[in-house]
Amino acid sequence: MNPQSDITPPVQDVELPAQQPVITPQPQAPTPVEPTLSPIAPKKSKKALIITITVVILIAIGVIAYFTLTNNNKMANDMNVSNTQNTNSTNTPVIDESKLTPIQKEKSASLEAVTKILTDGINNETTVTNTNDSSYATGSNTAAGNVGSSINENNF
Amino acid sequence: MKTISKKNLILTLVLASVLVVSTSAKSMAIDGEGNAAGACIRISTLASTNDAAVTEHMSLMKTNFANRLTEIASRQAEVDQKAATFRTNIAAKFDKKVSELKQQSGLTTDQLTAIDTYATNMKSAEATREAAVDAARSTYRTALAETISAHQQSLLGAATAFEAASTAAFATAQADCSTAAMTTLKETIKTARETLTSVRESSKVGQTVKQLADTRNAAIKAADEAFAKSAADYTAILKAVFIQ
Repeated sequence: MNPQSDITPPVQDVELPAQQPVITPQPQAPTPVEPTLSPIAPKKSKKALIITITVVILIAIGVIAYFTLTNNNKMANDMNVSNTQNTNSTNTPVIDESKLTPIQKEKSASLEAVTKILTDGINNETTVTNTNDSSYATGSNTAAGNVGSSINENNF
Repeated sequence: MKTISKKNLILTLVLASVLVVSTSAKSMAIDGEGNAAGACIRISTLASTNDAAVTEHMSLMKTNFANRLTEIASRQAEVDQKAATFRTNIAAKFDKKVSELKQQSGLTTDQLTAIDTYATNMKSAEATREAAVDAARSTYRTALAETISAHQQSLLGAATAFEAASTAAFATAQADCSTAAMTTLKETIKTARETLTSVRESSKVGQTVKQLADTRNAAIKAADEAFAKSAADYTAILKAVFIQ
């Protein structure tokens, strides 16, 4: 017996290629068709919006008209005050006297009169306070000059 | 005959001329002694007269200085009194008017509060103004007193120097008692007066006093204007509440 023939060749593991799955093409689903909107629906929505806006505007106009008619005097007074209460750089209200009602003008004048008491008094005080003492100097100098004039050597 | 007469005439004229010249010379010698004595007497008289005049004017000058200081002090006291009266009166009037404002019917609590705030602020502003005015006035018065004191010291020193110079000049002239002494006396008196005049000119304080017053007035004006601004602001603030 040929020893060599007894040798059984090792069985080689042969990696078989993986069987590729067979892809069966699926039938394409039918493309869904967008349902077309009925033209009647959007027309209804826009109209509602327009109507709503119109109603709101009318209500606003009505409210304004109501306050204007029923509270005219108060609003006028308020507007006068607000119009005249612009503030200057020191946040002091600036009153526009020309926009005041007669009653407001009267009140304004009464306040001015109170303030004027102090300002007038100050002017009077200042007039008295601002003395002029420069006449002193002239007089003293003349008195000293008389000492020198008490002798006239031209008459010697 | 005619020739002899001429000779006699000439001789007579010559003799007469000699006599006149001789008499004049003697007379001139006598007058020189008289002038020297007269000058001595005159210097003595001038000394007593002018010393008295200088002394009198020195006294008048000192009185004048004192009177001017009294006058200024009196004027300052008068100003203080008037200012105090003005302030008292306007404060009383102001309080009265504020009280009348608050007594008006229909005022809200906010309006009454606004009136009180207005009154407080106005009084505070007035107090600030018064303090500023008083300070300006005080500064002016202090500076004025210093200026006047220095001025009077300067004038007094110059006048005293003049008095001493004139007294010394008369004493020297009396001791010398010569004709030349009168000339020296005149020159010495003139120089002494020129020195006095020079000091008077250099020590004039009219412009200084005016500048002090201008500074005071400017400070008072600034204080018044600051008050007026504050008063206008406080009035506007009250108006905004009061006229509604």
